[in-house]
Amino acid sequence: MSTATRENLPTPRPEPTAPRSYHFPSFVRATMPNGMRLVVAPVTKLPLVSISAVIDAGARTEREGEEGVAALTAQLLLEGAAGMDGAALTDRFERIGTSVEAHADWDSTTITLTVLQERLPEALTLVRDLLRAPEFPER
Amino acid sequence: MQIPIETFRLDNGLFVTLSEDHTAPIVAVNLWYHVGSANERTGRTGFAHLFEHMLFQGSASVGANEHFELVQRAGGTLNGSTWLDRTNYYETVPSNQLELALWLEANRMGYLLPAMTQQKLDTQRDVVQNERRWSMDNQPYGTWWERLPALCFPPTHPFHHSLIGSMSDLDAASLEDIEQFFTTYYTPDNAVLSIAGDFDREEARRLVERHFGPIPRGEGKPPLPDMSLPATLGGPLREVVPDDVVLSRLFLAFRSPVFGSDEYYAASVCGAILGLKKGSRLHRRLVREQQVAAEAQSFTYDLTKGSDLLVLEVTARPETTPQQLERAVNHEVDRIHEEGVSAEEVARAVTLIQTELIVGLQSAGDRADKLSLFSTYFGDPSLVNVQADRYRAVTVEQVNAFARSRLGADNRASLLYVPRDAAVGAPTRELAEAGAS
Repeated sequence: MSTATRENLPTPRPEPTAPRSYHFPSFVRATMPNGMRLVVAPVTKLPLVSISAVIDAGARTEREGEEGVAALTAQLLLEGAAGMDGAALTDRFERIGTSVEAHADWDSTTITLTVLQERLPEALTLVRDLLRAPEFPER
Repeated sequence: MQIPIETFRLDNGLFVTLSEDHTAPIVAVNLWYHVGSANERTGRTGFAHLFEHMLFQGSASVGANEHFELVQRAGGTLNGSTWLDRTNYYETVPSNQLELALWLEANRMGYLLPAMTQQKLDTQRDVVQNERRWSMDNQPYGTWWERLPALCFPPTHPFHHSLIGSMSDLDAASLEDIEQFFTTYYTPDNAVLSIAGDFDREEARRLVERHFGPIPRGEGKPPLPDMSLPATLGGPLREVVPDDVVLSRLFLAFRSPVFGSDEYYAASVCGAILGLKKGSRLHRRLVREQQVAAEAQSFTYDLTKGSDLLVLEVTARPETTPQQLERAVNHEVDRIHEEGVSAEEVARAVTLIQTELIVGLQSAGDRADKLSLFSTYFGDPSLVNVQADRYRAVTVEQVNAFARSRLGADNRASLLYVPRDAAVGAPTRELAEAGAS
C-alpha cells in the first residue's frame, strides 16, 4: 500500500554529512639484492593484480641528436624478447588474459598491465623477459 | 569472486540494489529506467534521447543546469545515456554527499514537469540536433549508428529506427509529448536504483525511503509489440555507403542469441575469437599477415529481446579496395563457419573476457551500472556474480554450433563504407598525387 501522490511536496535539499575517512592501502617496501626496489600495495577486494614497472629513464635524459629514443625504446620493448617476436609476445600476454603497455614520458619509462590474480606468476615472468632480455630486432 | 548485494523494493515499486565497498570514500548512484528508443511511437524517433537531455534541465527544486553544477561542485561526476531498451542516469560523489545525489534523482523522478518550459525544450532540441550533426552526419562512418540496426531489423521492429532520431521528428516533439512520456515511463515501478561504494546500509535505506518513498507508482506502460525475429536474416543483406572517408570500412553483422541466454555466451566467445585484441583471427590474418586491414574488432549489442547482433568492424588499409576488404573478412567468417574453432582459441577468449569483466567491477560507477542492468533485464542483480562462470562454461562445441548456425551466408548483413571519390570511379591515390603536384 502506498500513500504517495503527485501532490506530495518534494523533500528539501540536503546538506552534506561529515566527510568519511579514507585510508590509502598501506605499502610494503623492499629492495632486491640487485637493487631493484619493490612496492606492494594490497587491495584484496577483487582477484586482480596491477603491475607497474618504472624505469628511471625518460626523454629528459636523451642526448642531443637522439631525441625520441626513450619513446622508441619503450615501444621496442614489446617487439621482441627472450626469443619471442612481437606477435609471439602479444599472444603470450593475451593467453593470460591481458595486454601490456609500454610508455615513456619526460621522467621515466613504464610498463603496465593488469591480470587475474591466478595469472600473476606468468605475468611476472613475461615482464621479466621484457626488461631482462629485450632483443630490439631490426626486422 | 562475489560482490556483496542487498536488494529491497519500495511500496511504489522502485527496486533498489545496494553493494557496499569501503575501499575509497566515494559512492555511485545509478538509475535505470526501462525505456529506450524501442518505446518511441511512430513520428517521434529520437524522443527517448531528447528526453534524457530534458532531465538535466531542472525539476521543482533544481534550477536549469543546476544538477550538473551541484554534483560537480561537490567533486562528483555524472551523466546519462540512452540505448535501444533503457535509459540511465548516474552520479559518483564523495560518500558524504550520497544524499545530494539521491535527492537530485528523486526530485526529477517525482517533480520534473513543474520545471518544464517551451524554451528549455527548444534549446535541448537544438542541442540534440547538433549532436546528430557532429556525431553522425558530419562524422566519418558516423551514420553506421542508424544504418546498421535499420539493415538488420525489419522496418516494423522497435529496434529498426534511429536512436538519435530524424531532424523532422525532433522538430515535432512537443511539451505534451514530454509530459506523456514522463508520466508513462519515468515512474518508480519502471526504474531500478543502485548504490555502490562507501555507505552505511541502514542509512542508505533510510535516505532512499525518505526521498523516493513519496513518489507515486505509475499507471503501467504500453507493452512493446512482439519483438521476436527469425534466428537468421534469411539471406545476405548488403548496403554500400559512399562517404567522406579515406579508408573503406566494413561492418559485418549477424543476428545472434539474445543477451543472457546460454547461446549468447558462446556467440560472445566466437566474436572474441574473431575480433578481440591483436591475437584474434581478424587481426592476426588481415592486419598482421595479409596486411589488407588497418584495424579489426568485434562487439555485441547485448539486446535481451528479439535478437542480439554480433558485429565485426574492419577498416581497410589505403591500398586495399572495398571489394578486397569484403572478400578477406568473408573468407575468415567462412573459415570459422565451416571449420570451427580450437580449444586454445576458446581458452584465450574466455581468459581475456574474464579479466575484462572483473576489471569492469573496479569502479563504483561501473559496479552500480551492472547491478542496474541485471536488475532491469532479469530482475536479479546477483547475476553480475556469475558472468565469469557462464563464460568459463562455454565449450568448443557450443562455439562451433553457433558458428555453424549463425555465421553462414544467410545471416550476414554487410554495411560497407567506401571513399566517395572511389565510388564514382576516381582512385583516391591518383587524386592525392595530382593534389601534391
